[in-house]
Amino acid sequence: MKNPKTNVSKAVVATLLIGIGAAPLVRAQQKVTGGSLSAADYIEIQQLVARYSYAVDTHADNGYAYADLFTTDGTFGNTKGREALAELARTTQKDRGGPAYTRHFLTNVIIYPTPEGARGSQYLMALDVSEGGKPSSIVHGGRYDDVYVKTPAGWRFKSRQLYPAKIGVPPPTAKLPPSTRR
Amino acid sequence: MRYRILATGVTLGLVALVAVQARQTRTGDSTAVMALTAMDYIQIKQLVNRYAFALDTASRNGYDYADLFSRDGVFDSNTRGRVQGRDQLAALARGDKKGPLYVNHYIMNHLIEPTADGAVGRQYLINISHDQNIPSVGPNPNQWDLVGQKRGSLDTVGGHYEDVYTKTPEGWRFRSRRFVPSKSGPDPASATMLKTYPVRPDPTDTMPTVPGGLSAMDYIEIERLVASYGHALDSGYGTTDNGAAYAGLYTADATFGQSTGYAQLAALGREQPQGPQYVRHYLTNHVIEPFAGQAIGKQYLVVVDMPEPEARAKGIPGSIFLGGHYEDVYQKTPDGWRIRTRRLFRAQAQ
Repeated sequence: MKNPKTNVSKAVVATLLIGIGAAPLVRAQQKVTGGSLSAADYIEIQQLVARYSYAVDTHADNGYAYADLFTTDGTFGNTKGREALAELARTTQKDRGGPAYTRHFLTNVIIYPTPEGARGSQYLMALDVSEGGKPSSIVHGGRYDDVYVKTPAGWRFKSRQLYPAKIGVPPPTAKLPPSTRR
Repeated sequence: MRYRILATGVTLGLVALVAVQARQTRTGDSTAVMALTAMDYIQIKQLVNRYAFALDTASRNGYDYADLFSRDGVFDSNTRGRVQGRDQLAALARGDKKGPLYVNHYIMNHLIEPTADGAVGRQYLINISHDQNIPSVGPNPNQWDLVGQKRGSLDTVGGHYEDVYTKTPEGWRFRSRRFVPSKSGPDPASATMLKTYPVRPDPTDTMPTVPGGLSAMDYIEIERLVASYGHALDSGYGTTDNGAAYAGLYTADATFGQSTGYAQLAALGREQPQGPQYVRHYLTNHVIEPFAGQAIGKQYLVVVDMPEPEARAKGIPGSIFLGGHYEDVYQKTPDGWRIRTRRLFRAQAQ
């Protein structure tokens, strides 16, 4: 556990690998037929999405604050179920969580109704924010695609998948600088 | 008969009360909190979205910033200490003054919890500085060739805000706002999450309170329109044509910069680097105002070149390509809200 890279759970790595091949699987933004959400639904889902960052970064409640954002059969990538999700939250940035830790910055939050509930997406910017005067840095980024369902206890993630940032194929005239592919 | 109706009413009331309490027990304390409507959440979010603009531009000599606080409002941070009072808060904003086009405070992840007499909230902050002297790229550069150019950097300031909000006759204001720098630590047990409560349904969800005003749904749809901007441009919403997805965000006669109308806007979108998993345009701090029966808005932009998984594995960080703010006019069409005009103002210090 000395190298921070090894802290990323195997499940996350597996998720990323799967994500790379399976780009536009399901996109929330496409024309949706049926379903409707009230203003209260949109706000409650926005709040669910905002809670995600705090739950994963602080490791609150030993990871269960994170797990409880999902339905009982909820999935993040290949990680499924309350115990596995709590474990994932605890081991993500192990020994680096805490009440004031900020790493997962989310924006471009879009939510659409579906007949079963709702879908949505956001952009992630994972940052190593400066501590003790060291420079901050951009670690990685990507897009989350979600399915939400309304349970008796409120809106929850049914599934959530991270697609890491990946540029497409440039037209023949463009010469991508080596810096992007690296 | 009358008694029976009364008894039925009381019974129904009790059932409803028990149901509400049962739900609150599941989600938060059962002590009475001020149930917030969607419009309350929206107005609190708008308050926070105005914060960065007011602080970075010091508009109205810092008083736009000061007036985001209640009369006894306090700002508190590790570097500035405790600042209270309208003139003192305005002076704080002026101290940061970098001009009308300065953008620095990027605020995200806004969490709100209703309380007995208002609300509390948190957000994440990252400060980003954009370079003033950008190397010339010549006329009509191929946008793909520019990916990865470094034109800005993250500041050493980042962390989260902890707020107390109060509803005044003029609207929601900060009673207190405290900045806490990011700190990683071995003490996860002490982290507490804000609680959630159901949002209270309200007639203003779909109907504006004043003629020419915006309903909660109008705000939500305009938020989503702008939040869609990056998705449409960078990945085309999972379609194969990001140009069509991008132009579809605008009215038929819309203008962005030098481009007017569907064909030109679609062509502009297609020139941009893109891909099904591409993310590049991050927008935040979205301020929305009703205007002459339609709406206007502004928000911060940062264009980030993220390391791809292979680069990340080697520890190569992402870089900042571009920053600034957009100013928009939105129009409600039969298909929903669309952008009527949009201008990009690149970040500049005065």
